[in-house]
Amino acid sequence: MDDDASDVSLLARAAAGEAAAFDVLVRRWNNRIFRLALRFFRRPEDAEEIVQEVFLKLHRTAAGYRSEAPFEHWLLRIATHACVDRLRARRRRPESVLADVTADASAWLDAALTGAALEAQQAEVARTLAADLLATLPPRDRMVLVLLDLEGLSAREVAAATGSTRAAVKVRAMRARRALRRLAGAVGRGGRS
Amino acid sequence: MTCREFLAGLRSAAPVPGPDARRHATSCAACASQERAALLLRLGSERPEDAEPRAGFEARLRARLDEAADAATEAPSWTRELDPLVRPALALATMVVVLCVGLYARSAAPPPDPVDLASLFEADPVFSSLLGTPEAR
Repeated sequence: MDDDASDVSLLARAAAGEAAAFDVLVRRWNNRIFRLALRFFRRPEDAEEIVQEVFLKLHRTAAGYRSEAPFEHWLLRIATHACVDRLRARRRRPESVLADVTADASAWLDAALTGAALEAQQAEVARTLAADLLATLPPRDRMVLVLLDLEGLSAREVAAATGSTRAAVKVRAMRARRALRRLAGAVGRGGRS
Repeated sequence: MTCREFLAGLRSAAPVPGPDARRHATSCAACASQERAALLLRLGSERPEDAEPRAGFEARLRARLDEAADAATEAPSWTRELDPLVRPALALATMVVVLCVGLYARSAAPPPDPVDLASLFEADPVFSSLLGTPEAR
């Protein structure tokens, strides 16, 4: 199998029933999708489930791909939709997360946010709480922020990857940052003991 | 350092706050709050840079793809062979229905009054004036 073939030609061959071409695409892109999914789902099993969903959908819709959009954007769009759908199903309310926060966890997260060094177990608790707090953000807003600030995509690329517009991306990012500031401010102000 | 420079640093791939940034954060509450929010995002979204799916991922995916393919081919082969005929058959059936409805509507309408020359003479003044009344002839 020609591993140097372009994504588009591999996809066309996969659509024509060539399983080996599809396997090359999977090997080429599965880590990228997996690492993106891990930003949202801390359990590797969940992230892997997303990757499988993405490739199943890619396989199903391969024949419908139109090369006006770059393949990467198309694949990312499938991936972001899969993540957002699952995040929606698991979204929690900020009050419920904050109500469950212990004083220790809150203090450790507060310390982590001020750059203090923590023991491994404390750092893990702080990370889990941070992830729980992020799970309260609207999924699409969170996706936009992660793609912009952590994955290093431009607003235009994020718009293409999420099926949105640049203006909408900027609005979502602004809204998500505001919500994050509120959440970060709420940490350290309390927590049940 | 300006707020703009500070925020640009926060959104870079690997923000390493230097002494300038630290000084700025202590003197600017808005930037300090942004920094805290950015750290929360980073911490809650952290994952190993070299993370990969567990061993055997491709085999598991292939099994699911095969499963999906089997589900798609579960319909008996003779129904697949009839697929190209479905659209023309539907079109033909629609035409037959429309034709039947039209015929029924036509047959259900009350029959028109019989028109013959005699009644035209009796009822139509134009005929009467052109040809005259039967008595006049």
